[in-house]
Amino acid sequence: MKRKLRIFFGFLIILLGSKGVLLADDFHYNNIIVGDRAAGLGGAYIAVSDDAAGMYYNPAGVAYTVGRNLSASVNAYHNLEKKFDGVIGSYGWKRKSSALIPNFFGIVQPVGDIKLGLSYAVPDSIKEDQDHVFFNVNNNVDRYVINLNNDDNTYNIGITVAKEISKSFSTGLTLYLHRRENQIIFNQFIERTGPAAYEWTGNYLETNETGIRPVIGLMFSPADKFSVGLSLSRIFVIDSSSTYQFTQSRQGYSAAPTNLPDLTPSATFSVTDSKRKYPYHLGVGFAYFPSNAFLCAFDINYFSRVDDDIFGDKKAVINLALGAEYYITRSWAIRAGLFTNRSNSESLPVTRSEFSPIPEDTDLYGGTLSISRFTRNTSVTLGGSFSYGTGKAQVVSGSNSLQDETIRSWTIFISSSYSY
Amino acid sequence: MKRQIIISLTALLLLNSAICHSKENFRERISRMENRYTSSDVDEEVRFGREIAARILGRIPLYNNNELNRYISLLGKALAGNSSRSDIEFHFAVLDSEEVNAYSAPGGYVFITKAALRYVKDESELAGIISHEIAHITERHIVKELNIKGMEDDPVAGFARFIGGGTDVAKVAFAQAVDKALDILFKDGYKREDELESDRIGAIICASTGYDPKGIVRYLRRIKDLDEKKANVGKTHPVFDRRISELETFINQEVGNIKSPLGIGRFEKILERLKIK
Repeated sequence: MKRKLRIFFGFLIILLGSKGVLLADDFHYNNIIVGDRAAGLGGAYIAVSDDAAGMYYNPAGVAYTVGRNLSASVNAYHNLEKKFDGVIGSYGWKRKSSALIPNFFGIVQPVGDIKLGLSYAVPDSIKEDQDHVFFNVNNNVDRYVINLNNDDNTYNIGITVAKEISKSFSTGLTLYLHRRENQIIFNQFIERTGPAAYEWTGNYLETNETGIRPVIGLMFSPADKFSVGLSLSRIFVIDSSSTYQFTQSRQGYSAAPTNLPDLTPSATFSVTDSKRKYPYHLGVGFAYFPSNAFLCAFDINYFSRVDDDIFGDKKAVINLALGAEYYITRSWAIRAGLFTNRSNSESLPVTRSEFSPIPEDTDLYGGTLSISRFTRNTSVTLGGSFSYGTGKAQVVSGSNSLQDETIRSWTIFISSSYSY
Repeated sequence: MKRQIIISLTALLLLNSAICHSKENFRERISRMENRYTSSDVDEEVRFGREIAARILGRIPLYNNNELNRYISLLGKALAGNSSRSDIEFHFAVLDSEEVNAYSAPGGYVFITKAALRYVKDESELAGIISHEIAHITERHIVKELNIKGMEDDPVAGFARFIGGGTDVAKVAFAQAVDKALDILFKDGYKREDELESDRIGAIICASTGYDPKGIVRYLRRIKDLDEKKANVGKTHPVFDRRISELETFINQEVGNIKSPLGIGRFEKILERLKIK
């Protein structure tokens, strides 16, 4: 199976390989910050977590939710842009993804002396719809057309149970159903006008992945106005299936210097059930609540190393987040945060694994800002985040050459929460 | 590995118990510290209380004695007139129960059992019991505990509901809150500080209406001596000794030795006429 796939993906297109199709940000773990208050705080929420978003960050904090019944809903517009310099001749290659996503929904309510919750989160989402045409790339390529459609979404839906053991200590568990759905249609057409030649490749790839993601949380307060949170989670893939269709045709490139034999139109189909491996995520958060109008929080998130022959090895990563919340008045609050989204890529160049996206090693650094308007039972929040980084990528298939990469990502969100 | 995890968790729990300290809820945000009640809140409180009152009457029937119910109602309304809640209408009734107890539901619903009346010796004692229940209502003990609030008219709140989804959750939450309130009344009891506060406020209401505020103290002493099987009050109320002690201290400090009528004769006449069985 692997050999077949290697042949399938090893087919050398003049510049970009089929392997380079995937954009889903597998090289970063902090792509979309979940929640409304959490998003405003740069994701520094493990030691706060006392609302519905706590189910995602640290279920132990849910034990401290205020109100008989509380729900929150976040809708976000997420935009990601990756720019690779000097990839296609003198051209750079820019890939953009934008999607309107229901980032988070959660509802919590007390049942006896425990809190039960249900939440839905979208920690990553890619939606690309692109058509590129490059002219006069080199002597053998007068026109290079790329059509790309890529949908890659990760969903978590699950239940939470949290219990306040004492005023200073709580524990909680969230059990998410993890679902990742990825569909890619990637077509390339390469043309030379004289002597006439062309190459066509069409790729269709679909991957559906199902698993569970337990999140275990602890929260304790070692001193007045100070809390510490711990959370441990990992995605365990239970079922995965990938389907590939590949069509190709080439005429006129058999002579030197390309020396690529003519190919009659053909199609290849293949299937695999290899399961992607995910890291353990250990988060430690610290929060200080000096008054009921101000808080600051700091999180350290450790993601363990992953050894995965199929989807690519990942090195261990530590991400940091720092956030603050300030109530200007009883009805208005602002939040700001800083965060890192460091690359988990091995040092480049690497040997590409079967289904790994374009290898890249670019650390991202970002900030968030949000403003909330409160009524007695509700709040509405408008906010956004931005991250930026430059690094290296290994775009060209079958080559160890590295290209400069620039990544920009921004998200705006609007959210509401209310209690009954 | 397993042993290390157990040792770590044990250490964490020990550390927590060592550092466990009583403190105010530092997580409470200023946006949620609003204490103002709107007319919508009062409407919701009455609606909620009416549902609870109906459930109480579903469990325990009304004592079928119109004259007695009228008397209790007259006394209760006189006391309620001296409470801090003029925004709601109070309702009083006697329940046909052999349990020595009294209940109150948000929105102004007060009940006293037939058995409780048997141990009342004068009208000031009865006024003390009813005032205590009125105080639970005026201080919104259940309303605060269960966060009962009305729908907001604020456009922001409407927008939040719009982008957050439907309102069916509110209906479910309402039903659950009613169940929780009944648990407070029949099983768990009010919080101890709420009971003590009701004792204090009740004493003030009694004194303001012209009754001896120590009537409730005498009543509590009497039922304290009763067989526990008969006097179920202890199940949902704090221990009598503490209540009696704190209430006496409060009355001595805040009310003083005002000579108020006990209403002994009137009450005895009424009891004689009503013949409570």
